[in-house]
Amino acid sequence: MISTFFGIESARRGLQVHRRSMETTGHNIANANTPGYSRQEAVHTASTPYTAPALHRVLTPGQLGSGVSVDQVRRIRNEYLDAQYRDNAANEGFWKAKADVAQQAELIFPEPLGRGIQSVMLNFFNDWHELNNNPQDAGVKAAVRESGLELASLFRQTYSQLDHVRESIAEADAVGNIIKGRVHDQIGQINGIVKEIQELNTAIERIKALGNQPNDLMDRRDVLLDKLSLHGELDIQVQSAAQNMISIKMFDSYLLDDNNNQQTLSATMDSNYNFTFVFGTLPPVPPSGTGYLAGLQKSITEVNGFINSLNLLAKELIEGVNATHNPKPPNSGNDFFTGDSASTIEVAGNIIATTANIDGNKALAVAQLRSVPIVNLNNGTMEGYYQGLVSEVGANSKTALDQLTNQLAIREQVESLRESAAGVSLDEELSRMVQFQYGFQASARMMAALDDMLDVIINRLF
Amino acid sequence: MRVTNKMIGNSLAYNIQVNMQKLARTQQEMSTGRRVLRPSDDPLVISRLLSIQGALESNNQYVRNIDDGLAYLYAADTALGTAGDLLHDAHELAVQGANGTLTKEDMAHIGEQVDKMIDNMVNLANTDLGGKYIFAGKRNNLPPFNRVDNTITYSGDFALIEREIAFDTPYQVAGPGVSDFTVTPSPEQGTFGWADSATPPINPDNPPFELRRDANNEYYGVFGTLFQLRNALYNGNPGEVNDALGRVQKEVDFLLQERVKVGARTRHFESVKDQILDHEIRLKQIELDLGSVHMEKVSIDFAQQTLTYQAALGAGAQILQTSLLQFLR
Repeated sequence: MISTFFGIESARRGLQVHRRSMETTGHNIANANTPGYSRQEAVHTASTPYTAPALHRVLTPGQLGSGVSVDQVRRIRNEYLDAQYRDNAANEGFWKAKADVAQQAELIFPEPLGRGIQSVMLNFFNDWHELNNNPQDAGVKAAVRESGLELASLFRQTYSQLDHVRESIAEADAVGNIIKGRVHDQIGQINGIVKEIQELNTAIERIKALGNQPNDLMDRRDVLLDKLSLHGELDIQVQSAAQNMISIKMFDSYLLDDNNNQQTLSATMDSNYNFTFVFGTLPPVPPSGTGYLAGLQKSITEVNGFINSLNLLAKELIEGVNATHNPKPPNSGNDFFTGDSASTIEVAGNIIATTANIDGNKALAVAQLRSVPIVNLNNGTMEGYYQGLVSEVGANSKTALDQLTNQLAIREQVESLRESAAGVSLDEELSRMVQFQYGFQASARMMAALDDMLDVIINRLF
Repeated sequence: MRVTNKMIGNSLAYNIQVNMQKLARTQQEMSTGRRVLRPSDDPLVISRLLSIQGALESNNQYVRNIDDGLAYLYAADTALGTAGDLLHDAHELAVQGANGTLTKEDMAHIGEQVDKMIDNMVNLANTDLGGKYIFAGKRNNLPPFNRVDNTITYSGDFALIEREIAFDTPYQVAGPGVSDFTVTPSPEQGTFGWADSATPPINPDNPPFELRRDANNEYYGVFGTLFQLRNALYNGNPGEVNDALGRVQKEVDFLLQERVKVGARTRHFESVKDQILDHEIRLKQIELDLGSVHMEKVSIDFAQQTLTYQAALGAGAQILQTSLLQFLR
């Protein structure tokens, strides 16, 4: 036998569930533009029918439905796309690091429109030709000195600019700890993000323990993981589905271990500009795989290579000009240049003081250094070597930019797939709103009808 | 695929950004006229562009070197021509002096004329080009030849005058007026003889040097010949004058050979210069092909990109405004 008020109970449940759904729709609409938000859905389930079959059951024909309930509010999200997004983000981070640095390095070389080392070097040799045309002319000797000064200062300037780029990536203190530069900033960001994830992990665990669904916290954690994956390739493991705690590994070392303990990241650099990362108490590891940090490692090695090439070119120029201008044992006559690298090249004091120390008879031989292949410069001329360097800098920057553009396009695609599953569509929500509104109204109408019926029984029968 | 408002917004923003980047790039190419503005624009082309730029700049220098060399050669040609004429005159005087009908006084008078010719020859050997003495090697800022009575000294050096007139191609413009006899193997006689080998070795840093003399204590070359002729005339000895006559003829031939060499070099320099100027036109053409934009193509690209950009903006603005909201009351 069912209760007199059974129908009222069903109608009440209808009202409640539709209100609940309205609220979820409202939450969705409010968060339509929140980054990382996944749309939520109140899952309607018909509540347990009256009654269960049993030996001594009340004999009523058929099963009687008892209305509706909301079992859970779930977030709609495709977890596989998250993994793809993060893989791609790590690649994007890698190429972004390379593109950032490569573009900075490229700006230092003003070719082809500006007056770069090649042009100034040619000018220097041309002035020696001019001196060969006028071997005794003090004015031409002064011009040779000036173009020598210009060339030396351009070498030093290019060196110091490249050195600044190198320092902007990472700068270490006396014992090798990285204390400045992009790597340092990155590590700060990573530690901050991991700290937040750790806190979210704890909160999620608590809510899960109460049997609730921490949708919004999980969204926030996913956003943080997206950000973190730009820095390095991540290995994310869910510890247990029930608690939904996660552990995170980067470079195969724990940033956040199985017990939700954070391993604070720090880094060191050796004299060859190789980074080593220290994860809390774990053994140090070199960077590997993709991600911004690995990209920075690659970039600093490349910039270092450019600097070495520039140094080598300067060294060959200094030695070549000195050996030709002053073929006596070193330091006994008038060397034209002093120094042995791009950072130390200077026109010799003797030459600066007295242009008469420039030997016009050697002018043609010095000018001809321009066309001499040099073994240490890959058997090419100085100009050819420099052209190779510029070309390499350009190719480096182009590859990084092209790859970054690709990664951004892929990101756009994955993002839109993800958005397709998880994003809020306003039209959709509005139609649901209308739907739930009518559901609510109908349930209320049902309640009113039952009220009328009971009114007849209770108030008017006798 | 399910589509949401945010997707449309995101993709609109992304595509507008892509369109703007393309437009900005095309605009930059159009306004500079250049396709390669940075090394990364075309790393393969950049090194070729740089080597062409290098070649163009050095070609300018080669043309300057050639022009400077040609000025030398023209001056040398004039000097050697005049010297040849002078020797012709000397030859005529010698013929006069050798015919045996003149008195001693007359011969001495002719000798005086020859003596003045020696001064004249010294002046020719000191020909200069804007302060650079062309027969002085590289120590060329002072007149190299100096005559004191019967002594001729040379204060230049023995360096070859060379100009690089093409990549890795130095070419001799002129030898020094005098060759250094002390080096082995001894070089060809210079235009005006050898340096003195009486007290070898010569220290080239310590001029002046007296010119070399032969067994008869006479200078080799044109100066020796003129001195011999003069002395023969002073002595009034037609036989000696006759001897000198033969030598004068030989020197005329020698100077002519020198002049022919100068002429050959001049021709070579002129033809190399033509080549370089021609080469320059071709290099500039290649540079244009490699480095500059094809304006027609870029203009069409620009029009297309503008159209796409406007369409993206228009469609985006329209679709973002439309929503169910407008139809709900």
